[in-house]
Amino acid sequence: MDRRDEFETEEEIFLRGLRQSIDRMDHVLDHPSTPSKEQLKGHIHERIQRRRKSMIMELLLFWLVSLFVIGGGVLLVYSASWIVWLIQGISFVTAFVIVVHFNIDGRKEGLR
Amino acid sequence: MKTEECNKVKLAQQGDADVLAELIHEHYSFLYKYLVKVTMDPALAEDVAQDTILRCIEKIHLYDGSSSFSSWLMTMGTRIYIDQMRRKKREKNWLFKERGIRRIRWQFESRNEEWDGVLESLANLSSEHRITVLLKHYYGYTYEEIGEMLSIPSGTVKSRVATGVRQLREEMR
Repeated sequence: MDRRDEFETEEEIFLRGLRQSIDRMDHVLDHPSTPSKEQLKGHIHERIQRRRKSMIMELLLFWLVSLFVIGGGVLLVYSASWIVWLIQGISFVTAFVIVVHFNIDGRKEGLR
Repeated sequence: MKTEECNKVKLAQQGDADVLAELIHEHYSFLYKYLVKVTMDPALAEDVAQDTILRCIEKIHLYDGSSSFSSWLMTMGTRIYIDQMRRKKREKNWLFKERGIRRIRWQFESRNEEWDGVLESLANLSSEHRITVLLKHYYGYTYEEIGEMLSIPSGTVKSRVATGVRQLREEMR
């Protein structure tokens, strides 16, 4: 048997001893006070209710913020003068034309 | 995973509180015993086990069945313990460590059992080495599985296991 084999065997013996000691510890230690199924069910219901409450709160907050944003947008639409809409329209059309133009140019270059 | 357990998990994920309670009840003792070995402190193990159960209730819908239910609980328990150690830096406080070991020794002595050198050495290992040695050589997980459980590369696991075993053997000499 060479030294490596000897080392591995020694390690195996050591690990076997370690496993036995841990097994013994499992037997010696007091059994845990496992919560009853009823207690666990109580925890589960409590958690589910808590999660439901937090989801309702999140939904409520979402709608509050949404209403605020939508309300602000509607107010802006009604209070803006025709010049604002003209500028908005022109910039939108210009941006659209530029995008289409670059798209067509890109395709042409790709074909070459 | 066993078919029966798989069915139970599915029902629990669909919101059946009775089945979830039954699943947790069946695995609690195993989880606690694992955590005692990891923490080397029965009181701390009970705290971590309870936190793990609460997390299990909250995250049961995320369990994908790729590992057994007990492995999933062990993974969560280990991560909770590591997080606690990081946050509280309890491990650096030798008083906490000593208190845990004393509790286990007390139980050994109460039953006229010998507290041997191997367990003393295991208790003296750092938690990161102890966890990897336990998972590899006691629970029989592969390096890759342990890596996934602890979110670390399998190479790191391998080196931690080797260092842990070497330290244990050196202490035993």
